[in-house]
Amino acid sequence: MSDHIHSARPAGGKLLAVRGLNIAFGDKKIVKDLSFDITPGETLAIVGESGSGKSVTALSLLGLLGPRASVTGSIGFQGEELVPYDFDRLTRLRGNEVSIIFQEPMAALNPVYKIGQQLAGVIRNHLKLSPAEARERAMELLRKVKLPMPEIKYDQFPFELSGGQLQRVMIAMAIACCPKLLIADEPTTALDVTVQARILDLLRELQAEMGMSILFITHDFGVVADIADRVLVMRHGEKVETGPVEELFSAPRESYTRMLLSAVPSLKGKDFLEKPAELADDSDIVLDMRDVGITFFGRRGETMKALDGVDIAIKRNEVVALVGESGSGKSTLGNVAAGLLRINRGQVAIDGIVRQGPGAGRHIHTPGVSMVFQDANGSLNPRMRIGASLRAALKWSRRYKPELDCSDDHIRQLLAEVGLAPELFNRFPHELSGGQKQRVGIARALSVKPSLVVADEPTSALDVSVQKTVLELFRRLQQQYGFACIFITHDLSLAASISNRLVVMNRGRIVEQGATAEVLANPADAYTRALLDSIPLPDPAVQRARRAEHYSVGGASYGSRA
Amino acid sequence: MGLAAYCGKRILVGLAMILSVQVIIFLAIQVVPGDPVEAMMSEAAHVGADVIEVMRQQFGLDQPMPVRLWRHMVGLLSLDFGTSFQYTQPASDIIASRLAVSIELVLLASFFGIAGGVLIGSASVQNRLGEHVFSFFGPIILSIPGYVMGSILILAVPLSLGWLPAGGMAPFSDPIAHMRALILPIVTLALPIAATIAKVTRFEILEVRSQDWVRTSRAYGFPTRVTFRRDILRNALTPVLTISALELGGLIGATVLVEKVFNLPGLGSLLVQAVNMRDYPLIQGAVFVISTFYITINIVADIMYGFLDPRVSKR
Repeated sequence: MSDHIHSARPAGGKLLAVRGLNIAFGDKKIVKDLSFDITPGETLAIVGESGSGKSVTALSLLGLLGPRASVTGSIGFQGEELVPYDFDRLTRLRGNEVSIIFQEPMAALNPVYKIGQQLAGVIRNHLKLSPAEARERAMELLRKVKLPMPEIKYDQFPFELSGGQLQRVMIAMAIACCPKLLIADEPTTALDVTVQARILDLLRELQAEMGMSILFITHDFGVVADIADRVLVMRHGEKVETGPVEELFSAPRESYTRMLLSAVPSLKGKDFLEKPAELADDSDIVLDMRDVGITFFGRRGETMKALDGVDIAIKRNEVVALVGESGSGKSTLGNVAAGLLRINRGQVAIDGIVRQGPGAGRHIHTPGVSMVFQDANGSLNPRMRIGASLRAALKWSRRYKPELDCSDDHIRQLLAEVGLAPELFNRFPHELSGGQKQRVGIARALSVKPSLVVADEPTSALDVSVQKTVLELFRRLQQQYGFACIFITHDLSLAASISNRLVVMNRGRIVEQGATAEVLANPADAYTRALLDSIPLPDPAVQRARRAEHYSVGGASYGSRA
Repeated sequence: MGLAAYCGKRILVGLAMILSVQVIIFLAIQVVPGDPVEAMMSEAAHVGADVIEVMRQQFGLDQPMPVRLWRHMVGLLSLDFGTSFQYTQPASDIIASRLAVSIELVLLASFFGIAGGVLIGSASVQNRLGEHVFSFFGPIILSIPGYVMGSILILAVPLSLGWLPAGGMAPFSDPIAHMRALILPIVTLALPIAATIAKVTRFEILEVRSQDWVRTSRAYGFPTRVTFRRDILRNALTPVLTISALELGGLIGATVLVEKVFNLPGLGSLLVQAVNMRDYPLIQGAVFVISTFYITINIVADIMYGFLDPRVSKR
């Protein structure tokens, strides 16, 4: 390693100095008069909601915005001016002194080359090494980023690795030439929380060892609290405020920052949404699943139990949060409840009528159940006006519930009920914002007067401030109509604030369930505890204390993989 | 599934397809009106019914159809298609004498067509000149039928400029004359292939260019040409291969018009003639060769596909 260490730090103690940065695509100004610094060894987090210009800023540092972007102002790296871009200078910097890792590790690597080959390619691009030396160095890097079984993974293709493993490979690529600045553009957003925690640990360890600076782009205040030294808050391409992380969390100066912080759901659940209503003991049971199992068959005859012996009963008025990581079976369970998937074993009854399993009819229609989907945009037909989309759902359900009202007036009323202007009746989905589209999704789900609503990650694609208003609406309507609800989410804090009961799933099984507050206070299952431990809390002091504790309890923190 | 098992399965399916084609063609030519003996005798004025009967027996046409089909399929095992009605020689010998020209034509034309298409398609994304060549000549070439193109080339090159022969074939023993005779037919066949392949290549490159891994490649300081060759073109070639296989496979039976224009003794014109004369053994033999070629090309393409895209073969 010693032969790769770079020369002395630049004068003034600044590694990167951005002054008056303006970025525009045509007439559209994305970043306006932005200035910030990064000192050596420091981690600066840029936070903001979608459209804040944070990712564009990150990409502009390496000149990666493409020919349509006009970048003016000054980007000084180690005293060298990068704007206007000079291709040779950029080529020298890219991957060498400044590296970058991306949000989607699966898409960031070329699917047709082995990962070792891609890593060695990056190494040989900047360092004069023979193929054998590059291979050795690549292997060393893969061990350094704690990729399990590096000798085997070296000769595998990206699709054979998990998302977390691929992000480790990307990190190995990024540190291959010992950069002075690592740009991390939402590197953990696409990963599960336990994987996220390990990746953040890895980044921190590497930073301590190599002394590089990190520019961390994220929308997640928990991650900010966990990793940043300093924070820059952006909105609509402008700087809102900047300051040391503790200060920003404890005493935010700007109202926008305060609003953002208050919109982050916390595990305590307090102050975020009002408490869910108490349940009457004798409420009717809406959904009753007994010993439900689903097995998927792979092409090589291997089997995967998506659901395995699931028992769950949900009462009227009850909100049950279903949490777990990707592949845990939470969405599968939701789809079974909504009658979208056939089960192989067990029984499903809704409103006392058996819909699947022994005693069920041939069809699995479940007229009492409706769904709110994660991708509000994808769940609305782009060629249909909003009113027509709502009418289609009503018309279909009228086959089972003749009393439903399909009139335009009633549909306008539904829009008003979810806080949308009745004029949106004649609009197309692309004319609406993400939050508005999800409100339409909620209106559609409620229009058919369901007894059970399955909400599958309904707010995970939304910004935190929008998420909060949508959740408030959802809560109000839930209490008004008293439908039972399965709320599927990967966000434990969100689950904490919205649900009466928490159901934790792992590998197709329910590992723990109980009253939300109780499960959070005294998690009985090891997996639940691991999940809780992995969530970065939006409080730098707490997060630091927690990390210190983890490192003191044996060297094997949650950063290393067994 | 291992590569060997995969190939084995594909080859078995391919064999079954070749046999099915034989049965279908056998049945189809029986359904079409017309009779080989009548077709041959139509020029001779007075032929007695007894002569016709003798000929029918000689060709084996007096047997019921299932028997003839059975004999044909048994003969197929030793590549014996029977004796040509017109030439009174084994059909396989006649086909073999025509096959070399056709295969040479098809392989060279597709090589130049595909290579040229990929080059033009790549250039059309990379520089202005390439884009103009592509968008101006592409549609023109695709809209001109092959025989018109051939006639234009004959007018332009041998007749006006006096280069290259206007038609006919020279034997292998004279390689220079042989290649000179092939140049214009190859150009005629290769141009539309190049136009199609260029179009597909261009489209795929534009698709791949916006993928995240291309951004990664640029973000790690690779020279533009490395990014283009390794992270764009390489990924774009997978669909190009599929289209190439279809173009190439269809070509061997479709060269007939070019054979006519350039007066070449190829398989296509032999097949047309055989169909006109209801020369059953010759038809079956020619169809066998064409379908085998087509299916083989597709199997080879599928196996290559696995190499180009590891996700296909490893899953």
